[in-house]
Amino acid sequence: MTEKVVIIGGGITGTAIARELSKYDNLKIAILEKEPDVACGTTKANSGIIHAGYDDDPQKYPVRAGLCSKGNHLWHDLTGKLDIPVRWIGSFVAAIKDEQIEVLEDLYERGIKNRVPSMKILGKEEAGKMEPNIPGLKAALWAPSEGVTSPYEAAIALAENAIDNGVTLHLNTEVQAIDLEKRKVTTNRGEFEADWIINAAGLYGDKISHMAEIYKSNAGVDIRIHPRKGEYFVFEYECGCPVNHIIFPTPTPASKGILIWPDAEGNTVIGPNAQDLPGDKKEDKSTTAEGLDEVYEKVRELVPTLPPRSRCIKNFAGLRAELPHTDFIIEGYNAGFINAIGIRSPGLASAPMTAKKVVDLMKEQGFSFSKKDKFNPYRRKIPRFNELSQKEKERLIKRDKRYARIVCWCEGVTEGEIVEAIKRGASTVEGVSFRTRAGMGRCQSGSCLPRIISIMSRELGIPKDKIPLKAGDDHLLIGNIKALRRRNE
Amino acid sequence: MNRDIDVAVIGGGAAGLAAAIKAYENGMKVTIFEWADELGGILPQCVHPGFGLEYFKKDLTGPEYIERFIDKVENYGIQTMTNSMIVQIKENNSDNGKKLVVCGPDTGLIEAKSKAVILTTGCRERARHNLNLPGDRVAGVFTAGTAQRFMDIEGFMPGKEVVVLGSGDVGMIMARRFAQEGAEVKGVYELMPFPGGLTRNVVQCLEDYDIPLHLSHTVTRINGRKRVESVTVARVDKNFDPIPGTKKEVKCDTLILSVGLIPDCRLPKILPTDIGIKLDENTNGPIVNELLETSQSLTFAAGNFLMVNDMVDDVTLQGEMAGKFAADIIKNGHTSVRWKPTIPGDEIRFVVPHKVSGLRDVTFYMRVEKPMENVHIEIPEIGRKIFRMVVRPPEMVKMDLNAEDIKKVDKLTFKIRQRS
Repeated sequence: MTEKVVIIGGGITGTAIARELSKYDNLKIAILEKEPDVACGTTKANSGIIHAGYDDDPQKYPVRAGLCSKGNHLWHDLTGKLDIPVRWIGSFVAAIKDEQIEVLEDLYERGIKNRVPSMKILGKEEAGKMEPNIPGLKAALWAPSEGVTSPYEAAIALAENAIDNGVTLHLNTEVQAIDLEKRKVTTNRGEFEADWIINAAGLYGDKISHMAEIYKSNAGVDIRIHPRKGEYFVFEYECGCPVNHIIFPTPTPASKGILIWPDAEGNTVIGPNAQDLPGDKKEDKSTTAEGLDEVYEKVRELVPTLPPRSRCIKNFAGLRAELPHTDFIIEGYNAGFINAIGIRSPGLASAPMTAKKVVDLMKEQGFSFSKKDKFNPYRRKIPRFNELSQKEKERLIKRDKRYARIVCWCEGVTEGEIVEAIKRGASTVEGVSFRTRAGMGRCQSGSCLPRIISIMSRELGIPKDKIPLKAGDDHLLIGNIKALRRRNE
Repeated sequence: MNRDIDVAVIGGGAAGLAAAIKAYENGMKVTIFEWADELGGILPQCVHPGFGLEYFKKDLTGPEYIERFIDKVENYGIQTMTNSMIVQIKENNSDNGKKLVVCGPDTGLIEAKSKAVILTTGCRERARHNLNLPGDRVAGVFTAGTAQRFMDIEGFMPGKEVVVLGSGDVGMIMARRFAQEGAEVKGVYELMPFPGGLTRNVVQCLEDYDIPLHLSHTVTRINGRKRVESVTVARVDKNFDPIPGTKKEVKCDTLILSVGLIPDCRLPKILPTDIGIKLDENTNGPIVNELLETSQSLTFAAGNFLMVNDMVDDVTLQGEMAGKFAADIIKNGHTSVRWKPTIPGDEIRFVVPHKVSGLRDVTFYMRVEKPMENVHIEIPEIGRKIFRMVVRPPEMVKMDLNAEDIKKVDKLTFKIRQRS
């Protein structure tokens, strides 16, 4: 018998769960997302690192520790099947003081417990060869399985593939009430029947859990989420990157430290710091002068050849969803309600494993899964003109000549790519950028923004002054050039 | 499209059109490649007057100014490829020319050959994150040029309560433009203790419209939930750090940034092949000789791609020079010369051109480091001292030297000296 699943939240966790469940025949799955696109919350603003898994102490954080390295392993396969940009460049914890070498050894031991593959502690010489721009390097912990991806592209890919396998995605759909007895979820866009409700609502995971009258975890942890803010710098592609791997300073008991790495595109990125905000500041994604100074100065202590601050092309802040015990809660309750909440780092790395754990939880509650014959595990990304060979470019242009019109100079994005992004669901300028990289280069969309808006207006059939920059934003333009003059008449 | 070109002009704005016209008038087969769907570059959106005072001895608007060149290009029948980008330039050593790859919906991806290339792709604007300007990342923050495009090409109003950061010419002109369309312009905030643009714009754009100019001030934070709701401004000290206790919030829905322009010389993703031109880190543009030829033989640069100019008239003159010299060298070959370097000395940030020969008279363009009054511009090698009442960073210093003088020396240093 087919049962109905409602997944609340279209972030990396919700989309990973949807895709995993879409492998089965006897489920009808809906993702409810309050924003106009997937990946609009914590998923879009984090490091994008697929952690190796040596960081989480299995005694203190058993859930995180249990999921991360296995999730990392799954991503190695999934990024290929779903055509998600990724670079498996490995992570490198740098020790520059003798006493830090001990900490590396502890991390190594922990990594072994968490089954992180191929780790090594490198001596001064070998470490220095791999990372010549870290002065005073004494030793390093090397974990080659770690990688870097684009977290929003990952969630978009998971969602597209889930939809291809029968999942329905309901955007702009905010959950208002949950009735477990009647198996019903009420939203601003009507009611959804649900035999299973899976809460993957990120920062608002507590709110959703409370709607189901679940206030404490099975182990008695208060379900109360506060945001922890992290700020970042992204530098111009042209600056290159002074490091070759994902570089962590040696952690202290207080902090994992601020990192530097070349992202999936080759831009230098640094961040995040960690600032705990009160539970009612879940929308405060502002950057601060103090926070940015902290991030830049701390990284510069480790890597003095960091690009100058004037070559920064993006400062942003993200919010991690922290529960009081700072571990994930992934567990089932009565009446088919499952929480997958408190998903902070390493939430991205864990996501595919989190999804499998949800399947296990449903099995525990007596659901018997029946595999789909025709599950399609593959998804193709929007072709990136700039990355293609001459022949491939010619073929693409032959199919659609809009692939010969370059709209974004900095990233080399064509009109064809933008049109395809809109077809695949982008309804904000940011949604187009996330799918194509248009506007994400060094001019920060100064040149292409009017063109992107023109194309969106044409393709979506809505006026230019009704195009939002991103989810939750007002429009970029307030009306016709004479809007104020006419109003004043 | 004719794919066997003498002079390929990349960028169809003021510099490119002037270059194309001059090269054509000197007998060259010319093609203009333009990214946008129309010629003109930035000028069609500059609807204010003040263009052509030097070149045409007339006060024209941007569209009027550029129309004269577009008309000429059309009358001459110069080949024009709009919606086209050059995605590769390769030195074609066999027949001493260049191989270009053109990309556009009308042509697809095709190859062309040219003897010379003139780079006139202009400059880009510095934007919010170059300043690390903190706060909320919401709609309502625009660079001045982007806002100008929305208003005067697209016909849309970006906002109704406006703060402008930076008193460059574009910033002041946009402050006035917003006021003209009925927006409330709360003020122009300038980090430096002096305005960043031409004096005539301080008067005509700000004073005439009662728009306050706050010198030694900056925006320290952008505030808003769904759109900009206010900006925090503060007075700055000598080191440009905000002075505690001077912060205040200014209510607005739009922040316009006019915080500098940078020649757009490198497009590492679009034009991945190294086109082999050496850059000057002070202009951010290429290093050129008096022919405006870059370090790459038969590759020329002009206009805001070469250096950020104050006036379109100079951009046009540079374009004409590049077009003329490209034609000369194609016809007559390079003259063998020993180049003499030009050196920016005290209080001079840059001098263009970077190398001169003494074979011809040269116009030098310079920018000074800070405003000074009652000064001499000195060139010690030739014992020249030229008096200026005022020099200011926003106003390019131009100076002509004749071939005779240049011939005598093996380098030229330009400095500013306070007159005692």
